[in-house]
Amino acid sequence: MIRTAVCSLLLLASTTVFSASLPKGLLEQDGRPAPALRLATMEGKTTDIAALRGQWVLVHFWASWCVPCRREMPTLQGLAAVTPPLPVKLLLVNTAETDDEVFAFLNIIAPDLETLMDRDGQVTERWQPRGLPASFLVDPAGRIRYLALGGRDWLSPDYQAFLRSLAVSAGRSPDVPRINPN
Amino acid sequence: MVGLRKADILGSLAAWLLLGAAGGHAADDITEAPDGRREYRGQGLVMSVTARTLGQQFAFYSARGFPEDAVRRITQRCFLTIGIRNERNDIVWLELDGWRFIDDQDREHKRIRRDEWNALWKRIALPPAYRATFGWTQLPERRDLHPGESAGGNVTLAPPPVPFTLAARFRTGDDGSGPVLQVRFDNLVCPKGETL
Repeated sequence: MIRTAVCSLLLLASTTVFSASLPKGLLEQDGRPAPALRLATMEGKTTDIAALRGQWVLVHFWASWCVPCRREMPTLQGLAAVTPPLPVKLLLVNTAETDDEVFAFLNIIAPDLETLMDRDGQVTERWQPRGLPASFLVDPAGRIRYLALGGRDWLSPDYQAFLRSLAVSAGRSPDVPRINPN
Repeated sequence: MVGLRKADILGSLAAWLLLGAAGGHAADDITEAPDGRREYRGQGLVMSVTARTLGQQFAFYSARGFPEDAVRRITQRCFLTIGIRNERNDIVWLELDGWRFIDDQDREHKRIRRDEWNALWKRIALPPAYRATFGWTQLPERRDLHPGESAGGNVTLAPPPVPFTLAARFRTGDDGSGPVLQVRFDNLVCPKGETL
Protein backbone atom coordinates (compact mmCIF):
# COMPACT_ATOMS: atom_id res chain seq x y z
CA MET A 1 0.00 0.00 0.00
CA ILE A 2 2.88 2.34 0.89
CA ARG A 3 4.58 1.39 -2.37
CA THR A 4 1.36 2.19 -4.28
CA ALA A 5 1.10 5.56 -2.57
CA VAL A 6 4.74 6.40 -3.32
CA CYS A 7 4.29 5.39 -6.97
CA SER A 8 1.15 7.54 -7.22
CA LEU A 9 2.97 10.51 -5.73
CA LEU A 10 5.90 10.07 -8.13
CA LEU A 11 3.52 9.81 -11.07
CA LEU A 12 1.69 12.93 -9.92
CA ALA A 13 4.96 14.77 -9.46
CA SER A 14 6.25 13.84 -12.92
CA THR A 15 2.95 14.88 -14.53
CA THR A 16 3.03 18.20 -12.71
CA VAL A 17 6.63 18.88 -13.75
CA PHE A 18 5.80 18.06 -17.38
CA SER A 19 2.71 20.26 -17.36
CA ALA A 20 4.56 23.08 -15.65
CA SER A 21 7.21 23.05 -18.36
CA LEU A 22 4.74 23.79 -21.15
CA PRO A 23 5.27 27.21 -22.70
CA LYS A 24 2.60 29.81 -22.03
CA GLY A 25 -0.35 29.49 -24.37
CA LEU A 26 0.08 25.76 -25.02
CA LEU A 27 -2.64 23.46 -23.74
CA GLU A 28 -2.23 19.72 -23.32
CA GLN A 29 -4.94 17.76 -25.15
CA ASP A 30 -6.58 14.39 -24.55
CA GLY A 31 -4.84 12.52 -27.35
CA ARG A 32 -7.93 12.13 -29.52
CA PRO A 33 -7.21 10.98 -33.08
CA ALA A 34 -6.54 13.87 -35.44
CA PRO A 35 -9.45 14.37 -37.87
CA ALA A 36 -8.90 13.62 -41.57
CA LEU A 37 -6.95 16.28 -43.43
CA ARG A 38 -6.31 15.86 -47.13
CA LEU A 39 -5.96 19.14 -48.98
CA ALA A 40 -4.09 20.67 -51.88
CA THR A 41 -1.99 23.81 -52.25
CA MET A 42 -2.84 26.53 -54.78
CA GLU A 43 -0.57 24.69 -57.21
CA GLY A 44 -2.51 21.46 -56.71
CA LYS A 45 0.06 19.58 -54.60
CA THR A 46 -1.90 17.36 -52.20
CA THR A 47 -0.93 16.47 -48.64
CA ASP A 48 -2.66 13.84 -46.51
CA ILE A 49 -1.88 13.99 -42.81
CA ALA A 50 -2.35 10.21 -42.63
CA ALA A 51 0.81 9.86 -44.71
CA LEU A 52 2.80 11.78 -42.09
CA ARG A 53 2.51 9.16 -39.37
CA GLY A 54 5.79 8.65 -37.56
CA GLN A 55 6.56 12.33 -37.10
CA TRP A 56 5.19 15.27 -35.14
CA VAL A 57 3.02 17.56 -37.25
CA LEU A 58 2.16 21.18 -36.46
CA VAL A 59 -1.18 21.93 -38.12
CA HIS A 60 -1.83 25.67 -38.26
CA PHE A 61 -5.22 27.10 -39.30
CA TRP A 62 -5.28 30.70 -40.47
CA ALA A 63 -7.02 33.37 -42.56
CA SER A 64 -5.71 36.60 -44.07
CA TRP A 65 -8.33 38.78 -42.35
CA CYS A 66 -7.29 37.61 -38.89
CA VAL A 67 -5.02 40.16 -37.20
CA PRO A 68 -3.12 37.75 -34.89
CA CYS A 69 -2.41 35.55 -37.96
CA ARG A 70 -0.48 38.45 -39.44
CA ARG A 71 1.78 38.56 -36.36
CA GLU A 72 2.20 34.81 -35.95
CA MET A 73 2.90 33.82 -39.56
CA PRO A 74 6.47 35.24 -39.79
CA THR A 75 7.44 33.26 -36.69
CA LEU A 76 6.17 30.07 -38.36
CA GLN A 77 8.20 30.93 -41.43
CA GLY A 78 11.21 31.42 -39.17
CA LEU A 79 10.95 27.84 -37.89
CA ALA A 80 12.28 26.57 -41.20
CA ALA A 81 15.55 28.44 -40.65
CA VAL A 82 16.17 27.13 -37.15
CA THR A 83 19.30 25.02 -36.75
CA PRO A 84 19.58 22.25 -35.97
CA PRO A 85 16.23 21.55 -37.62
CA LEU A 86 13.23 21.05 -35.38
CA PRO A 87 11.54 17.64 -35.28
CA VAL A 88 8.20 18.90 -36.57
CA LYS A 89 6.51 18.97 -39.96
CA LEU A 90 4.55 22.19 -40.53
CA LEU A 91 1.19 22.14 -42.31
CA LEU A 92 -0.55 25.46 -42.92
CA VAL A 93 -4.27 25.36 -43.66
CA ASN A 94 -6.00 28.44 -44.98
CA THR A 95 -9.67 28.61 -44.03
CA ALA A 96 -12.16 29.34 -46.81
CA GLU A 97 -10.31 31.99 -48.80
CA THR A 98 -9.52 32.38 -52.47
CA ASP A 99 -6.16 32.02 -54.20
CA ASP A 100 -6.00 35.79 -54.70
CA GLU A 101 -6.56 36.55 -51.03
CA VAL A 102 -4.03 33.97 -49.89
CA PHE A 103 -1.42 34.97 -52.43
CA ALA A 104 -1.74 38.66 -51.58
CA PHE A 105 -1.20 37.87 -47.89
CA LEU A 106 1.54 35.24 -47.99
CA ASN A 107 3.53 37.00 -50.67
CA ILE A 108 4.04 39.91 -48.28
CA ILE A 109 3.91 38.36 -44.82
CA ALA A 110 5.65 35.00 -45.28
CA PRO A 111 6.73 34.44 -48.89
CA ASP A 112 8.63 31.21 -48.11
CA LEU A 113 5.56 29.42 -46.83
CA GLU A 114 3.09 27.33 -48.75
CA THR A 115 -0.40 26.65 -47.50
CA LEU A 116 -3.03 24.02 -48.02
CA MET A 117 -6.37 25.43 -49.13
CA ASP A 118 -9.49 24.46 -47.20
CA ARG A 119 -11.66 26.08 -49.84
CA ASP A 120 -15.07 25.49 -48.28
CA GLY A 121 -13.91 25.56 -44.66
CA GLN A 122 -15.18 22.06 -43.93
CA VAL A 123 -11.83 20.58 -42.86
CA THR A 124 -11.36 23.45 -40.41
CA GLU A 125 -14.83 22.74 -39.00
CA ARG A 126 -13.88 19.11 -38.39
CA TRP A 127 -10.78 20.12 -36.41
CA GLN A 128 -12.81 22.57 -34.31
CA PRO A 129 -10.14 25.17 -33.52
CA ARG A 130 -11.04 27.57 -30.71
CA GLY A 131 -10.61 30.46 -33.14
CA LEU A 132 -8.21 31.64 -35.82
CA PRO A 133 -5.28 31.32 -35.75
CA ALA A 134 -5.00 27.94 -34.06
CA SER A 135 -2.23 25.34 -34.04
CA PHE A 136 -2.49 21.67 -33.18
CA LEU A 137 0.48 19.43 -32.46
CA VAL A 138 -0.19 15.90 -33.67
CA ASP A 139 2.05 13.14 -32.37
CA PRO A 140 3.71 10.43 -34.48
CA ALA A 141 0.75 8.11 -33.79
CA GLY A 142 -1.68 10.64 -35.29
CA ARG A 143 -3.15 11.89 -32.01
CA ILE A 144 -3.69 15.51 -30.99
CA ARG A 145 -1.42 16.17 -28.01
CA TYR A 146 -1.25 19.96 -27.76
CA LEU A 147 -3.19 23.01 -28.82
CA ALA A 148 -1.48 26.38 -29.11
CA LEU A 149 -3.76 29.31 -28.42
CA GLY A 150 -3.75 31.86 -31.22
CA GLY A 151 -0.93 34.28 -31.89
CA ARG A 152 2.15 32.47 -30.49
CA ASP A 153 5.75 33.43 -31.07
CA TRP A 154 7.15 30.12 -32.30
CA LEU A 155 10.67 31.51 -32.35
CA SER A 156 10.70 32.33 -28.64
CA PRO A 157 13.19 30.30 -26.57
CA ASP A 158 10.49 28.45 -24.59
CA TYR A 159 8.68 27.33 -27.74
CA GLN A 160 11.96 26.36 -29.39
CA ALA A 161 12.93 24.28 -26.38
CA PHE A 162 9.52 22.68 -26.26
CA LEU A 163 9.49 21.76 -29.96
CA ARG A 164 12.98 20.34 -29.64
CA SER A 165 11.86 18.24 -26.68
CA LEU A 166 9.27 16.50 -28.86
CA ALA A 167 11.95 14.42 -30.53
CA VAL A 168 13.01 13.10 -27.15
CA SER A 169 9.43 12.38 -26.08
CA ALA A 170 8.89 10.47 -29.33
CA GLY A 171 11.99 8.44 -28.51
CA ARG A 172 13.90 9.54 -31.55
CA SER A 173 16.95 11.61 -32.26
CA PRO A 174 16.19 15.31 -32.69
CA ASP A 175 18.06 15.50 -35.96
CA VAL A 176 16.11 12.88 -37.90
CA PRO A 177 12.93 14.66 -39.01
CA ARG A 178 13.12 18.33 -39.89
CA ILE A 179 10.83 21.27 -40.07
CA ASN A 180 9.58 21.68 -43.59
CA PRO A 181 7.48 24.65 -44.61
CA ASN A 182 6.29 22.95 -47.79
CA MET B 1 -31.46 50.02 19.98
CA VAL B 2 -28.38 47.89 19.71
CA GLY B 3 -30.38 45.36 17.64
CA LEU B 4 -31.54 48.08 15.29
CA ARG B 5 -28.02 49.37 14.83
CA LYS B 6 -26.82 45.86 14.10
CA ALA B 7 -29.52 45.48 11.46
CA ASP B 8 -28.55 48.80 9.92
CA ILE B 9 -24.92 47.77 9.81
CA LEU B 10 -25.79 44.42 8.27
CA GLY B 11 -28.07 46.13 5.77
CA SER B 12 -25.37 48.57 4.78
CA LEU B 13 -22.85 45.76 4.49
CA ALA B 14 -25.23 43.75 2.30
CA ALA B 15 -25.90 46.76 0.09
CA TRP B 16 -22.18 47.45 -0.19
CA LEU B 17 -21.47 43.82 -1.08
CA LEU B 18 -24.28 43.86 -3.64
CA LEU B 19 -22.91 47.03 -5.16
CA GLY B 20 -19.47 45.49 -5.25
CA ALA B 21 -20.81 42.35 -6.92
CA ALA B 22 -22.80 44.35 -9.46
CA GLY B 23 -19.59 46.17 -10.20
CA GLY B 24 -18.88 49.78 -10.96
CA HIS B 25 -16.83 48.71 -13.91
CA ALA B 26 -18.05 51.07 -16.56
CA ALA B 27 -17.21 54.48 -17.96
CA ASP B 28 -14.40 55.35 -15.53
CA ASP B 29 -12.32 52.33 -16.53
CA ILE B 30 -12.88 52.69 -20.26
CA THR B 31 -10.71 54.58 -22.71
CA GLU B 32 -11.75 55.55 -26.21
CA ALA B 33 -9.45 55.66 -29.23
CA PRO B 34 -9.91 58.20 -32.05
CA ASP B 35 -11.29 55.42 -34.27
CA GLY B 36 -14.13 54.82 -31.79
CA ARG B 37 -12.65 51.68 -30.27
CA ARG B 38 -13.41 51.57 -26.55
CA GLU B 39 -11.27 49.51 -24.21
CA TYR B 40 -11.84 48.36 -20.66
CA ARG B 41 -9.00 47.16 -18.44
CA GLY B 42 -9.65 45.77 -15.00
CA GLN B 43 -10.41 42.65 -12.97
CA GLY B 44 -7.72 40.86 -15.02
CA LEU B 45 -9.72 41.37 -18.20
CA VAL B 46 -9.10 43.49 -21.28
CA MET B 47 -12.23 44.02 -23.34
CA SER B 48 -12.70 46.24 -26.37
CA VAL B 49 -15.81 47.21 -28.32
CA THR B 50 -15.98 48.89 -31.73
CA ALA B 51 -19.29 49.70 -33.37
CA ARG B 52 -18.77 49.06 -37.07
CA THR B 53 -20.02 51.47 -39.69
CA LEU B 54 -22.18 50.10 -42.50
CA GLY B 55 -19.37 51.02 -44.85
CA GLN B 56 -16.91 48.86 -42.92
CA GLN B 57 -19.31 45.92 -42.89
CA PHE B 58 -19.95 46.33 -46.60
CA ALA B 59 -16.24 46.65 -47.42
CA PHE B 60 -15.15 43.62 -45.38
CA TYR B 61 -17.66 41.12 -46.69
CA SER B 62 -18.02 42.36 -50.27
CA ALA B 63 -14.23 42.41 -50.67
CA ARG B 64 -14.28 38.72 -49.82
CA GLY B 65 -16.72 38.02 -52.61
CA PHE B 66 -19.86 37.60 -50.52
CA PRO B 67 -22.98 37.60 -52.74
CA GLU B 68 -24.89 40.87 -52.90
CA ASP B 69 -27.91 39.43 -51.08
CA ALA B 70 -25.75 38.30 -48.15
CA VAL B 71 -23.95 41.65 -47.94
CA ARG B 72 -27.31 43.46 -48.00
CA ARG B 73 -28.55 41.41 -45.06
CA ILE B 74 -25.29 41.94 -43.17
CA THR B 75 -25.52 45.71 -43.58
CA GLN B 76 -29.04 45.69 -42.13
CA ARG B 77 -27.59 44.61 -38.80
CA CYS B 78 -25.51 46.24 -36.11
CA PHE B 79 -22.01 44.73 -35.83
CA LEU B 80 -19.99 45.25 -32.67
CA THR B 81 -16.43 43.98 -32.95
CA ILE B 82 -15.39 42.64 -29.56
CA GLY B 83 -11.93 41.73 -28.31
CA ILE B 84 -11.37 39.96 -24.99
CA ARG B 85 -8.11 38.92 -23.35
CA ASN B 86 -7.94 36.94 -20.14
CA GLU B 87 -5.06 38.29 -18.06
CA ARG B 88 -6.13 36.44 -14.94
CA ASN B 89 -4.68 33.24 -13.55
CA ASP B 90 -7.99 31.38 -13.79
CA ILE B 91 -10.49 30.57 -16.51
CA VAL B 92 -12.86 33.30 -17.69
CA TRP B 93 -16.12 32.08 -19.24
CA LEU B 94 -17.27 33.87 -22.36
CA GLU B 95 -21.02 33.20 -22.54
CA LEU B 96 -22.94 35.49 -24.85
CA ASP B 97 -26.31 34.31 -23.53
CA GLY B 98 -25.44 36.17 -20.32
CA TRP B 99 -24.84 39.51 -22.08
CA ARG B 100 -27.53 42.19 -22.24
CA PHE B 101 -28.08 45.11 -24.62
CA ILE B 102 -30.31 47.64 -22.90
CA ASP B 103 -31.30 51.23 -23.68
CA ASP B 104 -32.07 53.96 -21.16
CA GLN B 105 -35.77 53.05 -21.23
CA ASP B 106 -34.77 49.58 -19.98
CA ARG B 107 -35.75 48.06 -23.29
CA GLU B 108 -33.70 45.02 -24.15
CA HIS B 109 -32.35 44.69 -27.68
CA LYS B 110 -32.02 41.16 -28.91
CA ARG B 111 -28.71 39.75 -30.00
CA ILE B 112 -28.72 37.70 -33.20
CA ARG B 113 -27.41 34.27 -32.34
CA ARG B 114 -25.07 32.25 -34.49
CA ASP B 115 -27.76 29.64 -35.21
CA GLU B 116 -30.08 32.39 -36.48
CA TRP B 117 -27.43 33.53 -38.96
CA ASN B 118 -26.83 29.90 -39.97
CA ALA B 119 -30.55 29.44 -40.61
CA LEU B 120 -30.57 32.58 -42.76
CA TRP B 121 -27.55 31.43 -44.76
CA LYS B 122 -29.20 28.06 -45.31
CA ARG B 123 -32.39 29.75 -46.49
CA ILE B 124 -30.59 31.87 -49.09
CA ALA B 125 -28.21 28.99 -49.99
CA LEU B 126 -25.03 30.90 -49.16
CA PRO B 127 -22.08 28.79 -50.36
CA PRO B 128 -20.16 26.96 -47.58
CA ALA B 129 -16.95 29.00 -47.94
CA TYR B 130 -18.81 32.23 -47.15
CA ARG B 131 -20.66 30.60 -44.26
CA ALA B 132 -17.32 29.46 -42.86
CA THR B 133 -15.74 32.90 -43.18
CA PHE B 134 -18.79 34.58 -41.65
CA GLY B 135 -18.76 32.07 -38.78
CA TRP B 136 -15.08 32.62 -37.99
CA THR B 137 -15.61 36.40 -37.91
CA GLN B 138 -18.23 36.04 -35.15
CA LEU B 139 -17.38 35.94 -31.45
CA PRO B 140 -17.86 32.40 -30.08
CA GLU B 141 -21.20 31.88 -28.31
CA ARG B 142 -19.44 30.11 -25.44
CA ARG B 143 -15.75 29.63 -24.63
CA ASP B 144 -13.58 28.92 -21.61
CA LEU B 145 -10.82 31.48 -21.96
CA HIS B 146 -7.60 30.15 -20.44
CA PRO B 147 -5.04 32.43 -18.79
CA GLY B 148 -3.42 34.50 -21.53
CA GLU B 149 -6.01 33.52 -24.13
CA SER B 150 -7.76 36.02 -26.39
CA ALA B 151 -10.98 35.82 -28.34
CA GLY B 152 -12.26 38.24 -30.91
CA GLY B 153 -15.11 38.64 -33.34
CA ASN B 154 -18.41 40.30 -34.01
CA VAL B 155 -21.57 40.33 -31.96
CA THR B 156 -24.64 41.32 -33.95
CA LEU B 157 -28.06 42.73 -33.20
CA ALA B 158 -30.92 44.52 -34.90
CA PRO B 159 -29.79 48.16 -34.83
CA PRO B 160 -31.26 49.82 -31.73
CA PRO B 161 -32.71 53.22 -32.74
CA VAL B 162 -31.23 54.85 -29.63
CA PRO B 163 -27.93 54.63 -27.73
CA PHE B 164 -27.64 51.49 -25.65
CA THR B 165 -25.53 49.76 -23.02
CA LEU B 166 -23.71 46.45 -23.36
CA ALA B 167 -23.70 44.73 -19.98
CA ALA B 168 -21.35 41.76 -20.11
CA ARG B 169 -20.84 39.28 -17.32
CA PHE B 170 -18.21 36.57 -17.05
CA ARG B 171 -18.09 33.65 -14.66
CA THR B 172 -14.61 32.59 -13.60
CA GLY B 173 -12.83 29.45 -12.45
CA ASP B 174 -12.76 25.90 -13.83
CA ASP B 175 -16.39 25.26 -12.96
CA GLY B 176 -17.51 28.88 -13.13
CA SER B 177 -17.95 29.21 -9.40
CA GLY B 178 -15.33 31.96 -8.93
CA PRO B 179 -16.02 35.70 -8.77
CA VAL B 180 -18.36 37.04 -11.46
CA LEU B 181 -16.82 39.85 -13.52
CA GLN B 182 -19.09 42.52 -14.90
CA VAL B 183 -18.22 45.11 -17.52
CA ARG B 184 -20.51 47.79 -18.91
CA PHE B 185 -20.10 49.85 -22.06
CA ASP B 186 -22.58 52.76 -22.07
CA ASN B 187 -23.78 54.95 -24.89
CA LEU B 188 -23.01 52.59 -27.72
CA VAL B 189 -24.45 53.69 -31.04
CA CYS B 190 -24.97 51.68 -34.17
CA PRO B 191 -24.17 53.95 -37.08
CA LYS B 192 -26.96 54.19 -39.64
CA GLY B 193 -28.07 56.22 -42.61
CA GLU B 194 -24.72 55.89 -44.35
CA THR B 195 -24.83 55.67 -48.12
CA LEU B 196 -23.21 52.50 -49.35
